[in-house]
Amino acid sequence: MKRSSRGWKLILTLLAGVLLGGCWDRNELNELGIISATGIDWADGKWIASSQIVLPLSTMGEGTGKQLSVAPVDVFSTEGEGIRNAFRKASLETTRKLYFSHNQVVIIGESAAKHGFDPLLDVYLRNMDAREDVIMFLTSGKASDILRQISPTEWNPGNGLRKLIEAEDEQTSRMRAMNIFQVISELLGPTQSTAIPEIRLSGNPETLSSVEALKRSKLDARLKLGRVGIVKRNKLVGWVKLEESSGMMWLGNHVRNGFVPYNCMGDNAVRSSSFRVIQAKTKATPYLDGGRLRMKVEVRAEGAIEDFACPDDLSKLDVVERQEKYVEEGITLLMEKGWKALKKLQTDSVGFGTRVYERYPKLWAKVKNDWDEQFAKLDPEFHVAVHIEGTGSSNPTISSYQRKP
Amino acid sequence: MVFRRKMRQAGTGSFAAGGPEAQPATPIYSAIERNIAWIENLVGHSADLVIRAVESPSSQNRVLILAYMDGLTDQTTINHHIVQAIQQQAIMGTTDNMDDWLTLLQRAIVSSGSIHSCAYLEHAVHAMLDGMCVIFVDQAGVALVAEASGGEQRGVEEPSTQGVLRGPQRSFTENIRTNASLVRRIIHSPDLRYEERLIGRRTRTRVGLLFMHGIIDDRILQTVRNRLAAIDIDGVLESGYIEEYIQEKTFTPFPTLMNTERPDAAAGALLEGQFAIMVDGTPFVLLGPVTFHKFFQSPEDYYQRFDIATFLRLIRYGGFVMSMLLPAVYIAVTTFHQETLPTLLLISLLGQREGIPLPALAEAFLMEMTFEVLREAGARMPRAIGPAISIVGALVLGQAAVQAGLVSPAMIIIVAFTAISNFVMPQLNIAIAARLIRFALMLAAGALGFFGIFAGILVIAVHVTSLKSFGVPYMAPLAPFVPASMRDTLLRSPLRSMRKRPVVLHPQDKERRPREEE
Repeated sequence: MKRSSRGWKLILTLLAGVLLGGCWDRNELNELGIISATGIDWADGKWIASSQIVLPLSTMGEGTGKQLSVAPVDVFSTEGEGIRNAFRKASLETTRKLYFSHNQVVIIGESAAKHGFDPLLDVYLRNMDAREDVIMFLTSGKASDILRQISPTEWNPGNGLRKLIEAEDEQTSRMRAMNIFQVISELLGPTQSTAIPEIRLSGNPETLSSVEALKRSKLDARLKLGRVGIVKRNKLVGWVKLEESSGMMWLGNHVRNGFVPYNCMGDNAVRSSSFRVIQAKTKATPYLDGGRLRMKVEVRAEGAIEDFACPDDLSKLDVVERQEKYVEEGITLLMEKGWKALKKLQTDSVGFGTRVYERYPKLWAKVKNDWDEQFAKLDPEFHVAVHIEGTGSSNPTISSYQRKP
Repeated sequence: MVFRRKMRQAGTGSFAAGGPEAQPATPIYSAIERNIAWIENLVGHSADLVIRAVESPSSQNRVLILAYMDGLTDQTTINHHIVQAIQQQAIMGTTDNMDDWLTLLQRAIVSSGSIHSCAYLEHAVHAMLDGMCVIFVDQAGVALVAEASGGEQRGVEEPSTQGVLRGPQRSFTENIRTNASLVRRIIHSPDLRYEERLIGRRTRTRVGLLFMHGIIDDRILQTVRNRLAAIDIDGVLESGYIEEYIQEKTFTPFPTLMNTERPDAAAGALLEGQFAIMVDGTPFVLLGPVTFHKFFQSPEDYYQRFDIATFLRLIRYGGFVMSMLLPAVYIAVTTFHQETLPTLLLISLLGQREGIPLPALAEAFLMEMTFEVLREAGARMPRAIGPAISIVGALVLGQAAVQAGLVSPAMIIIVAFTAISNFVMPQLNIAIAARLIRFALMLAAGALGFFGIFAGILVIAVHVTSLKSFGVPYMAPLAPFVPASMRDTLLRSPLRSMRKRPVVLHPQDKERRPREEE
């Protein structure tokens, strides 16, 4: 008898302990408001925080093909003096607990970016429920406008934006998808600067904010990726165009798959042909040229010709070798454009400073404080080696087969 | 007075209450009528007791009376081999010597299979209740007991619960002698030993212990014998009674003895160094000692190719884990750890749970309990209504509950999958353990999420590794780790590479076949 009652006492004690301890962080699913995108703006000395909550009602239903009779998201903006403070004010408007763990993107309006957005980064680092793999975007104008848009192909707009930039990064490599962790790492790295892509709305902003717009096949407005914003320390210092960003990707060894427009005749005025990059590697090596710091940028790229506008015969080896040379010139042109843009902004967002730090640490300790001016004087030399692996399935252009008039 | 004396003489009280080994008190009377009266009194003038007087031409007016229970005996044997044999025997010269005459009767006249003499009335009654025919001879101090068992028995059919696609389709029956013979048909070795004992004060059930002499470890054998001898019980109705008495005295949902209906499974177990306990009256034979992994082995694994057998065995392990953990994990993830789900799945679940009034834990409990009720009801349904219940249960209850907004569709899927995966285990008793533990884990998950689940799993793991079955650690060969025996645990290695018997059973003969000359 003694043995069994001791067992029951133990069980009762454990049970009491479990029940008295409260429920830890138990949340029922229907108490949560899942945020899929957030936005930050700055106006009149206050932060404006916008959140896009996913409305689950419209997803319950009969099988596939989620018909959008109701907009799947709800956006609301609140303001406060601190960022987290601003988000917390949302509890005045919403019945659910804001759940940030599924946040996909954070959009920073231009005003906030120019003011300096390090409070945002601090909030992300400090809080456990905010993930650091959230993708960052900049936008000219207000972030809350972007959040109000509904995209026709993605029923969850936050997810849609994320997929947009990731596809761009992977497939055409003209911009990098930057998540908070990468931004923080680069802002804390030797160069203290980074590049963040911009999302913009082209067309009439009112069009996409109601569901009636989706009933038409051609939209007046679209969410697109646009320029790239260069960030130094924690502020936006300028915008660069798409091609300049492309060059910066080459300079910084970020190209995975992409394409290089070039001219098959060698004259780079009209770049009607295109070379598809399959593999690319850039090595930037700093070296001292008589006391002066210079950078050698070596690029190795492999790929295939995907668009060929000249009547040459690609089956001949010397023709292919000539094309390789032209592609190299095309890449060099891109890199020069990127370099010029960075020089103008005096910001090293391609990691040259990191290379100097790795190779000449003592020298770096001396120049790091005015690296931005030093960077502008670097005058890099570009060496590009391209290897064309394939030329596609057909050889000369169609027109070369046709009779000449 | 006289009545009471007769009762005392019949010794009803002491006889019935004494165990099978109780000392008999009443020797056979010389007067044959007294014997018959005593017997009739003891069985309360039972209507199926048959008393028949026989005279033999050579018996010299000696009265012979047969007593047997109708229904327990084979009428043909009694008619031809006993009655007719006695009636038609003419013996050259008779003897006056009772002993010689009895010997003559035993050896030359009665032609049934086995015959022996007994000196006590209690033994005679026991023999009669076992289906023998008792021959009383007037003025002899002994009675003869002739083998005449028969009566209606079920034939050897296919196993009702443990069928296989490929393999023998024989199953044990309720008759213990038939069962023993079924095993002997597979193992033709004289090393197959069979010890019988009677257990149960009133049922006097024959319980047989089979083992392979020269393979089984003597310590295990001795333990079994001791535990069987220590059983003191009123009646043994099924091998489950024996199982409860001889298993380890720990409070555990995990079974420490296996049962089987198949002679080939029993034979396989015997060859590995286990013992088998048969109980008269049930086709379910106990096998022991067992480890946890034995419950996931089906005889079919050895009759099919080893690759499909390995695959199916892994599925069984997966099914066990799934049927224990799935509802608990669902509760933990949707209530505490929503960040672990992919966003799309989370939003879909959120949409499903929008209108549900119950929290996830209550919903899970409700559905699981409903399913258990349905399952139990389905087991007792008459065959005519059985399919209707499954349709009612599955479609109507499940579908209607979803449409009424009481439970979410995801929960129905979870419960259905859990229930199905509970059936992949070949042995029912381990499936029961999974069902019971599932509820405890659901509570743990509802209270503390993944932390609770892992705490529960830890408790179960510690408990299971400390269990022993007849001295053999329950989780061997995983814990303690015995690499030599791992060939038949999670996978089923080809037969050629399974050279050794399971080391944990400490068999005397370690190799299944002699090592080839290198």
